[in-house]
Amino acid sequence: MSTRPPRARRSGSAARSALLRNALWGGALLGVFAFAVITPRAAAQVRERPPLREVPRDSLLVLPPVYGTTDTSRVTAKPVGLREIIRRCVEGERTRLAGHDDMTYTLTVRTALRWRSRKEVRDAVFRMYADADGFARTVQLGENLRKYKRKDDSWVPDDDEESGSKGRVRVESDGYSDFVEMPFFLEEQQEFDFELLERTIEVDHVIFKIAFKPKSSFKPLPSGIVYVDTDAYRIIHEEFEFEQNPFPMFVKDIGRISRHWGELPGGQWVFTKMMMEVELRGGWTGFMPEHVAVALYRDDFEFDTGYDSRIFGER
Amino acid sequence: MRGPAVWAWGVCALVGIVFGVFSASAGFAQTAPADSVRRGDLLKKLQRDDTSQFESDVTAFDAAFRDSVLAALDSLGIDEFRKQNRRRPWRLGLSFDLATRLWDYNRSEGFVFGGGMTLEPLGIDGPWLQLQGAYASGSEKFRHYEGLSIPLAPHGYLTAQVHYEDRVVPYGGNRPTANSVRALIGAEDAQDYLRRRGGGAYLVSRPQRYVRVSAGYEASKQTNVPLTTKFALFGGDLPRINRPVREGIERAAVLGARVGDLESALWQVTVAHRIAGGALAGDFTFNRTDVDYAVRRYLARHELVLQGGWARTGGNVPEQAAADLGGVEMVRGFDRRTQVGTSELHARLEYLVPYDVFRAAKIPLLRRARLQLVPWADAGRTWGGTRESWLTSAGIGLQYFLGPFGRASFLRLDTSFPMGPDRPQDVRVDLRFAAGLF
Repeated sequence: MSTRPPRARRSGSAARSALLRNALWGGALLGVFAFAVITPRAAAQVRERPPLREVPRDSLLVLPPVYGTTDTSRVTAKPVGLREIIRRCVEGERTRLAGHDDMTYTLTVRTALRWRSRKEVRDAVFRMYADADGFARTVQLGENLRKYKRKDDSWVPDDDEESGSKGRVRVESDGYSDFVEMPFFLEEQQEFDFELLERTIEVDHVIFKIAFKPKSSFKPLPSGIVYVDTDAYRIIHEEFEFEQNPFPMFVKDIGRISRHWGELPGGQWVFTKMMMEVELRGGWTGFMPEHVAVALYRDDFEFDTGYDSRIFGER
Repeated sequence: MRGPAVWAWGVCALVGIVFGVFSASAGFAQTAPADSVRRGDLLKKLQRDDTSQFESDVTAFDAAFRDSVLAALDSLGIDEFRKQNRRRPWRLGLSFDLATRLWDYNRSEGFVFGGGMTLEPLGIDGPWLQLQGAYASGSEKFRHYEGLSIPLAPHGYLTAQVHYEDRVVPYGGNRPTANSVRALIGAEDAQDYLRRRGGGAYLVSRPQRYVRVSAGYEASKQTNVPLTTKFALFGGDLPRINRPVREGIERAAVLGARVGDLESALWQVTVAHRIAGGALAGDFTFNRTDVDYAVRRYLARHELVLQGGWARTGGNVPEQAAADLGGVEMVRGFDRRTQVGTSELHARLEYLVPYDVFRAAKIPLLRRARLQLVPWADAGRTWGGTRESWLTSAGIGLQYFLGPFGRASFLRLDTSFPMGPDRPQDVRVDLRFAAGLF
């Protein structure tokens, strides 16, 4: 039978040293605890600090509003797959302008036609209206044409050719409507294969980079890359290209096509610019341009101002 | 050794406490994940990189002209602005393209040279008048078509249409796309024709995006037309066309509906019903119902297209309105109107191979041709005619993309293998235009 020897009584200095050592251990552990536990919780509260929200009450029971904050809660969910991302994109695009009744903006279409020895740059200005009922109205206001000729290796204004601006007024219905139109790859998903390429984290939200291409090698549909902001599953940037030439008899090559999106001061996401370049066949005739570049600029956005018949004519 | 160790632990503890407490209180943990970027940086970079790939003509934008016309519009209003720019409110458009209803070639009429115009006297939302006229080189007659469309409700909900025509039109179920091109180049006129002189009035409604409903009345005199032209660039034994029709005046009520869209909605059903004679008078007393359907589905990357139709007639049906079967647009491998009866049913199944087989196989000359393989199978039969048996055929098509021209988007070479004891030949080859579904 073994017996444990009695612990020797410590001297006074040894006891103080042990007390100090234990205190330091405790402090270190407390520090680690504070770093490992308190910090993320506090950070989460800082990050997710919701506004004071009013708890809904039964209307019969009149009580002063109760304000409070939500505790951080642990939620488990399946990872969001590509199919779910696409579904949310469709929903996000459908509700992109929810809450607005109509929108008005200015569209400027810049077209640059280039022959071997001359070039034309044409600006056409439109005032556009669209409402949530699907009605759209386009008013073309004028065109500005500038002509250039090649001199050495640069383009100089062609004084021999008539340039200038003219009011070309045309009122048309059923133009493009942000309330109705959806990106074609979401509208006709069955035609495309999608692939999630990568994600980018922007501080507190994620941006997905998604590629799509036509299922068939023979359909003249564009393939492309889109960027989706998971804030509201909105498309924030698009780039397209054609693997199958859609107009093989007239077009040699369709270069890059892209659509830029931007957030307005009111929080609405709208596409603000679209650009494309095309190489045409038949440039040797001198009649057909060899190269065409087109850009659409949209600005002066206004929402919920109503239909102005003075600007757009009788509805 | 104990002293330095104690001090070391002490320093660690202080650092831990200070770091932990300060980071918690000062929101230090807002630091983003290690692989994140600042908000908006990605979008700016994407737009900057993208813009750099376009030429400066479209990336640099001078707003002076835009601002000037907008200022003028704001100060004047659209009406005064329009007056100052001396633009008329009505539009006049001339059309000399192949899409007119008269510009054509067939062996009854020869070349039909013509043109047309569209007049919109009250602007884009008002009524529009379409006038077309042409001279037929074979029959040496003047043919014409006039149509008036009056919107009764906005957004195409309701439109009234009236037309009058004197022209030669095809009849029968086999209606190859751009048949005139096939007739002119290959002497393959796969239609029969009659002359129709008369008109009609309809109400057309589009209550929803994929719904179109129409009801109307037609009255026309229908007569035989002789063959007047034999010319073809690559002629041969020209098939006999224009089997005699029963001549007379037809007065009919016509009802139609189309639901769905094969391109966007992946399915489409078209129903048409025609009641002639009876209380409407006229020389013909019959009725005919047509139901056509089309469905397409993807199985992974593989696209299948099923198309077909059913027709049923009743009463004293003239030859030109009977249910018929056969031809490149109904049951391939058999001549048009191989079977004629009181009712017919047919179906066509096509598989659009999504892979560029010739490029993958690196077959010389063909690997860059972008030719698509389309295996297919057709079947159909009629009832109430002289022959009642199933017509079946299978084959393979090879198609080349021409452009997004609707029903003429592809040039298709179909090799058909008709089946059954009534087959006219073992193999048949047809060159035709095929629709694109994009």
